[in-house]
Amino acid sequence: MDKLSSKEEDRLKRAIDEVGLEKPSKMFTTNVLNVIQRKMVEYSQPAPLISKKGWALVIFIFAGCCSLFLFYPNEGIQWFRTLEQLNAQFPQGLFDGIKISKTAVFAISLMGLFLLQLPFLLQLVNKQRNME
Amino acid sequence: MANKTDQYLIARTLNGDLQAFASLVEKYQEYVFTIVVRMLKVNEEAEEVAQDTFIKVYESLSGFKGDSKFSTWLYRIAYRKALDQIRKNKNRVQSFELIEDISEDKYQTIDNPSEAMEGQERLQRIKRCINQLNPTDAALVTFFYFEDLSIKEIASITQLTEDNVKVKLHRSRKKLFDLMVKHEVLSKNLRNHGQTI
Repeated sequence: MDKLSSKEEDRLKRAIDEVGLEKPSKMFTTNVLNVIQRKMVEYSQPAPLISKKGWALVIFIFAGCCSLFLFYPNEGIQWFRTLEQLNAQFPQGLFDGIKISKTAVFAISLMGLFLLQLPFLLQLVNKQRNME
Repeated sequence: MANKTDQYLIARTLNGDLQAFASLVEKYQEYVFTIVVRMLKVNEEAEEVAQDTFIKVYESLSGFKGDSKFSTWLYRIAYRKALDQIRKNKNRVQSFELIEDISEDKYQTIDNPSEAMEGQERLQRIKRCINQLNPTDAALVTFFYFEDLSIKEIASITQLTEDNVKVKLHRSRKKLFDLMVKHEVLSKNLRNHGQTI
């Protein structure tokens, strides 16, 4: 096969240079970034409010309580007795005069639950924002 | 200098700065698109593959160790993506050949050898010549002429040996030259006597 002479090579290069680089659509970069952002949202799966460690702790406490009741059913436990003693020392009838309706109790309970969740929710939202 | 800028943009991207990655896309989009479109021959398909290339780059950026230039790594991904697309889409070759046949007919009917071939028409002819190269040859020519890459870098991108790259590049340039002579982009006199038109 003949080798191209330097002049032929030069003309070929000039002809190819005339064409230059091809341009993609004007929205090319935007499209790429949109796909990346969409994928990032898909990848960030919602984290559970109670982590695996949290669940392990709950199960451990529950199992501990169950085993205590199983192994010491009638004898009672020293710790509970201490609690009873402390309760006895607490002034009795302190809140006798206060009457709260059931609706208020539910409302306060729900508010309490919400406030309990709030730090976890904030942590979750912050994590997702950082990933974006 | 360009490498330092790339490294800076890569570091920023890895720290979560998406705008830094946008700068990388802006910088290299035409090079990547040119490689892919030369191989696939179809603009719409090439645009999708070029986009996929940058998405893949973003996802794999943490794995880029900097052993080679960022551009070499990027072109390797683009080249492989284009080859994958060609394998996936075997019918594309047939449809392309059909388009080329039609183009050839049109070219024959509208062309008058005595007319001066300039501007857009000339560019279209050159593009048509490049498009008649097979995907690997088209990629090699693009790397060689548009990106000014060394044989070593081209070998690294295409996973061919340097000798193989040299042989293929020589053949593809020769073929391209002959195509340009055939399409009267370059004159036969030039081929025979090394003179310009």
